[in-house]
Amino acid sequence: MKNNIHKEVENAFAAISFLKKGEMNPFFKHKVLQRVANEKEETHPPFSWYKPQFQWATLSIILLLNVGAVLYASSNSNVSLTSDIELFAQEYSLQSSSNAILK
Amino acid sequence: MNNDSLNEQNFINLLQAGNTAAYSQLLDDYQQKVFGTCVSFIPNKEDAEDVAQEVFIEVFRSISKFKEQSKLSTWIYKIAANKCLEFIRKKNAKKRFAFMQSIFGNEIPLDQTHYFTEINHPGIILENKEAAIIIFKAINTLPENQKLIFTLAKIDGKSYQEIIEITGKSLSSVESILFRAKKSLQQKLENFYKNN
Repeated sequence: MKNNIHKEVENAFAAISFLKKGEMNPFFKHKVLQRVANEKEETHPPFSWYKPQFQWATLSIILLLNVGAVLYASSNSNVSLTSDIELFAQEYSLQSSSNAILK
Repeated sequence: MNNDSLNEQNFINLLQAGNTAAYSQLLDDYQQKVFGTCVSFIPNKEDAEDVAQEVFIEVFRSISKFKEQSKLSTWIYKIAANKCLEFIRKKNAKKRFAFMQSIFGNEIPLDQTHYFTEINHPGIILENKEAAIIIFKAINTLPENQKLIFTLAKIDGKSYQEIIEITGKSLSSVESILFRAKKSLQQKLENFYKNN
């Protein structure tokens, strides 16, 4: 009985020793190349060059421009308001330096 | 640098550049070999072809990371072995009674539900089919490192040198693991034939 078991075990090892691998599906290569082509398309969409670093740089520049524009606009509005008031005062002789009528 | 390594370097450069003709050549050179490795781990022709496909897609995705610390062939076989083990792990985990195998470690389950795929290895001849099925099931119960080395050595027919390069283990480690795998399989098969 022990001999039989030993023989069965040996047969089992022999059954898988250096098995022939068999032929592949003839369309295997075509399928793989098709998938590779699809992967290439997916990894190169339009604007793929526009990477996150460029995106952050663009955003920073736009923000800086906006902040600069707002600051410039607010400082200009102060200057023009003052000069408008002076002009108004001159027109209607409201400035103390131009009160010649009281003399 | 000799001619062969220069040619391989040029070939790798073309692969990294995504050259279609280079990929076509790669498939011509390696598809049968990769399939051979996959079907050694996964003795089902259709599953082995699916995994072999995934190997080449992984080669395409990862070729830019290939740093030439090994030969291209070694790197490809490494990917193949890893993809096969990953496939087996996932399939084994899905089997409802997988936990029973870990409890009754020495038993080889008889019915198909306990193996991760239907065994239809194209190289198994009819008179050996039953014995081959039994031993494939036994191999599936081995720890992963024993499964890997036993399969590469005894089913895929890889040399010790190739196994050392693929696994990154030393010769003594490979020999020791192979010895333990064979001993373990002998024990499992003896128990099985004693009880059946």
